[in-house]
Amino acid sequence: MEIVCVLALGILLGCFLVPQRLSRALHHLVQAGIVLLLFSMGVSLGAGDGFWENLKSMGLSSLIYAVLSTAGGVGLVILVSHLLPRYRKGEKP
Amino acid sequence: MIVVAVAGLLLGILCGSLWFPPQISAFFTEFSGVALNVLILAVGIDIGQNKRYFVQLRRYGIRIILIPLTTITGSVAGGILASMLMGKSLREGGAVGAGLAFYSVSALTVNDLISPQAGTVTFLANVLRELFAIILAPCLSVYISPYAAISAAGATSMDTALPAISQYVNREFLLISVFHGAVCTAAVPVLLPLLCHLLPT
Repeated sequence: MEIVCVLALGILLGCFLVPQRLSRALHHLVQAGIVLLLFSMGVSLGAGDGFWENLKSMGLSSLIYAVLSTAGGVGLVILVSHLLPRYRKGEKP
Repeated sequence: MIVVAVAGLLLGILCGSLWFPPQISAFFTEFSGVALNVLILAVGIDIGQNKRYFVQLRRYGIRIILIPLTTITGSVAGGILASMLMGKSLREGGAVGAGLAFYSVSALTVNDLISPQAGTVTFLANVLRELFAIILAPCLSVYISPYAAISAAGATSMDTALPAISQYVNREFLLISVFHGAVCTAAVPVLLPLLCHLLPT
């Protein structure tokens, strides 16, 4: 819920306050933020109880589950995307 | 970008498990929540500056629901297929797939309804899915389809994966991504217990 509120606040700020010329700076901020977010997620994971033991004993089966469940969703969405409005591949505003 | 993202993640894991004292690790856990909010605010501003994409979204109509529905169906099917390949119970496979990268709720539910071991596998598998979604967002969006990047992210397409997706797709897809994440997030607590009851052990 908090995320939805923050997103809505951002949309309002973008509509009425933040000028378009800041969009490049925002792009760089987001790129740096993603790396920082992944670093923080890594710290939380590594500091969790028995992370390496769990990874050793259940890492491979977790990886297979992660790959196949992601691939299943992605594959089906690609099939169904032919029913959705067309877009240009790699389209970027 | 992918190399830097993976390096950041690995460095974080090493720092958390080997070098950082518990207080510093706890700080970063708190910090990731704040960083996520700042990122989502930036993505919101980006969407707000391009209001015309709200109008373009009308082209989808009711068909927009197909995107989260196929993600959910495909993910559960993928999880079941994985369980068949590894000789594990279909119930575990369906449950892990239905986690949709929402690892906190899915791991706790599976822990209660199946077993602590299955709960740990659910946690790891769904954390991995979230990490794949963030790290692979550029490749999936540009070389396969923006829908692929959104689907891979599952429930996190409205939060942690959204900033990564936002860097490589048309802004119209960001609104779809938020909608997709919201439906998946709402589906996990309902679908997961249902599958645990319906699928054979």
